[in-house]
Amino acid sequence: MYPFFPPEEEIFSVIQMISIAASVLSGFFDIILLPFRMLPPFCGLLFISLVSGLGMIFVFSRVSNQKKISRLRKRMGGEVLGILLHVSSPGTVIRFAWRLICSNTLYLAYILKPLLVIAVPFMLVWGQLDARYSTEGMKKDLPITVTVQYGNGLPARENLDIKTTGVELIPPVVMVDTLDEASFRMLPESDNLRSLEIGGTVIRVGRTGNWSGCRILRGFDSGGSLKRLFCPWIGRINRTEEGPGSGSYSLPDVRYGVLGGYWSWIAVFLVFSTLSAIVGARVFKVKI
Amino acid sequence: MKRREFLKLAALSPAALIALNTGCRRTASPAKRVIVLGIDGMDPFLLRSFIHEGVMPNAAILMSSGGLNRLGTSNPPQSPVAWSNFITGYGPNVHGIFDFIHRDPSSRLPYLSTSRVIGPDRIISISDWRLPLSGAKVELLRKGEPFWNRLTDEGIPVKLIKLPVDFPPDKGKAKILSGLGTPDMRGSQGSFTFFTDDARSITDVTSGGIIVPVRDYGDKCYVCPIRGPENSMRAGNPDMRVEAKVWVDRDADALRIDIQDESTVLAAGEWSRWLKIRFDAIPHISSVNAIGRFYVKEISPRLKLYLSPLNIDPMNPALPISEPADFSSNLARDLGSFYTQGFPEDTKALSRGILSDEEYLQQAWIVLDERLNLFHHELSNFKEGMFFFYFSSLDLNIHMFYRVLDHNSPLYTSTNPRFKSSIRELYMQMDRVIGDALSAKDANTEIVLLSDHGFAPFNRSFNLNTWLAEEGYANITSPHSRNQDMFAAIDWASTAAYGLGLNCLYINRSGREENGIIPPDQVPDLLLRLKRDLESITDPATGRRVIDNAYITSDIYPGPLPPFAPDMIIGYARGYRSSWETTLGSYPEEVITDNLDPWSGTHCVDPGVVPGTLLSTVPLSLPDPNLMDMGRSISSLFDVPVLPPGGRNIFSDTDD
Repeated sequence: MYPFFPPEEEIFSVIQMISIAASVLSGFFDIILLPFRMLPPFCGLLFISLVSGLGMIFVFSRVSNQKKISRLRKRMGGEVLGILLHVSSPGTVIRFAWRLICSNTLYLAYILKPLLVIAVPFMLVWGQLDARYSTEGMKKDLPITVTVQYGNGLPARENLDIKTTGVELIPPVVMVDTLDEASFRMLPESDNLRSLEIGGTVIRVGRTGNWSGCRILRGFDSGGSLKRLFCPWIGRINRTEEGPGSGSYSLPDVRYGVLGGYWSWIAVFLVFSTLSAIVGARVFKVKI
Repeated sequence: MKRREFLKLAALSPAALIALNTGCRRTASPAKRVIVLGIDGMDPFLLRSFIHEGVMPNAAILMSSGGLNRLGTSNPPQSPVAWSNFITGYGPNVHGIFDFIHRDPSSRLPYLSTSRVIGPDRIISISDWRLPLSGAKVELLRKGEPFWNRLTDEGIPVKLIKLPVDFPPDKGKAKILSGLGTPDMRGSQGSFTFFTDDARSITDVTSGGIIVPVRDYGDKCYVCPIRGPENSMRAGNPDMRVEAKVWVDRDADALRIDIQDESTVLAAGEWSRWLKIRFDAIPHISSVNAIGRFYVKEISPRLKLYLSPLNIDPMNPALPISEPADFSSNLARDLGSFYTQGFPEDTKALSRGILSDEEYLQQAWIVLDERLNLFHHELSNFKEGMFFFYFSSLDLNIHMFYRVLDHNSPLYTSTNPRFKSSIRELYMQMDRVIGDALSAKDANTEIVLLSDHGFAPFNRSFNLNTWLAEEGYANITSPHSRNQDMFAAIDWASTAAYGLGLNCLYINRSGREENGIIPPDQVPDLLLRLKRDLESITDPATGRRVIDNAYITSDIYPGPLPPFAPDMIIGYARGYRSSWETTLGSYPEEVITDNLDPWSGTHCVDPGVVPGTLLSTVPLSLPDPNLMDMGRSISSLFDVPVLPPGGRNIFSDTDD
């Protein structure tokens, strides 16, 4: 079947490499956000958003063909002017409009390459911010709900074996057989490392969000590879036969007070990174 | 004489020094800290009896300092009116609050008397979207200057927690968290939601909340739509909605509630913690946050799931509930979420049978526990100035459980005897609060405890509008509409007077009311005739008078009155009150009926029946203290050059 299905040892080495890359990336963001750890989370989010905007415009300037874009923009300006100057001549307007459509298509082609180059780091940054700024962290003495998915049928209630370290399990356990899910509450007892063991599968519960901008685990699964890199809020488990395949912790969303409204981290990131990219393009004379 | 001048003289005069040592008044040494406990509905008679029983030792200590005094309340003795008297030092003719609800004279439509929302001035409409160019505003309708402004002007710190009739909070230098009068997210005073698949529980009309039928289609899942506030950014202001999915596990008698990305597990008979619910006006850009608590009443065989009124989230308040604005979020950060609505105890859910007595009391104690946390947090941080803290628990719980105190209540025998101690327990809890305040007291601290009114039984309901119709003051032309609200049964062309609100009567005055028929020059005679007739009503079942006094408003509040002011304020006798039907303008068949609602205690009677309570570490120098005196008197305990103008200083008989 090879080359479509590489040997098992190669699969593991790829997973390991991606896991290492994910750890390095998360560590990198931890270091960048270190100065903001005592400040409100918005500060770190704003910083990353501004830097990302500048970074994207820098990459764009390096990867794109600035001369071609500049020429094309001038041409497009001329075409718009042509439409405005010949409003009374429908034939000319249509000709200029057609040229403008062609120029736009060409423009999209010019920026395709830089956008593709930017896409991967953009998604990595997106994942890191999602992991750090979209939900509140666990709090000591505040119960959170854990939902575990089995995928291949729920165990019988009496066979559901849950052991805890550093967290207290609060009954009851709600079993939803139509979803193959079991849910229960747990209470973090301390800020130390905590874990659950369900049917022999060990699940690292993760941090409590006790410093601003830290990575907050919102779930876990036994799958591997790229998810580690792009979804750093998901922890990895080694599934046993009796254990669940994946699960999630229910953590409340965070909103940020900006200009009288409550913005999601996505809105903050998109607005401020765009603003910073526009300002960066003006300052560094990048044609976009 | 000013304090400094007095001290100068005292220092120069040996005789004055002797006087200082022997018998000078305590007010000569101004307190640096004053703790004011505002306990809504603390009744002086009940308090005295509990003190005599020995279950309120701390109140007894406080009583030994300044005595247990009856505090004159407002007329009418309703909390918004009474607390406005306290805040401004004046009556309704100045602060403009005459009842819980007022009416617009031109339309006779009722509105909440304490605040109103004003929409944005300019809006851009793009298709279905409406984008406001300026923010919507909430206006406090209470007029008059709060007494503490004189303190903050002198640099004295003032903190007022859960202050009634102050939504939105007064802008100024005082730190305020608004209390009574703060609406829920739907703009009402508290509107619960009840999800059920029990057909017997489903009714069309339920004031105080909504009942939402839900169904399990075999997948053990109920989809429960949660109705949020109106979306002012969409044409037609549709309600914002969020769906909760409720997965039931009947074997475990438990369920899981999924709302947005949050899940919570609850067993039957369990209350949830506060859950955040986000309503998106414009996804990702504009949303409002609410908090709600679920209670699982029953899972099997039928789902009965209660959701509390959606409260304004103190962490991200959609409306201004504190001053400064971040005060509420700081408190929420320290203490977790808390009830922000003005009436946190869900009395409507008990009245409508959604919650049982037991379940209601559980909810009431959740409220009280939160309030106590807030009190202890703020008391421990209180260093200087005035600290006011308001407790609603006595008021709302005595409203619901007076039936256990009064043998004449129609519900006395049907109420489970185990709830008979509930009021005593609440008073004992208030005593522990007094004890905490006394523990915090030092030589520079004074403590003032006051309540806005006392309590009386509400055994018989008086249908004022029905009486007006029977006596020829109103004309019912649509008898089939008698039980509909808002005067649906009435012909205004032949109606002279109508009742609306809890104590208010209005003349259908020409030039003021729409289709009003009574010319202004005939109003005084009509009012005198009404007064005579009302004060002579007797209850055929008991032979007792129903109304102690019918007050002509212009007699008790001289001077120009606003157009929304009532023409007459009805002072009901002990045991009577206006019916719920009267408050919203309907005309039931009978004039006087038994009150079978658990809301069995009232203070909306004659003010002489329900005086408030005043306990203080400072002895009183003047008799007959009144709520209107309290702002000036409390201010006099500080070194301020000019006292607030309203009321008297009851702590000094030589008030300057």
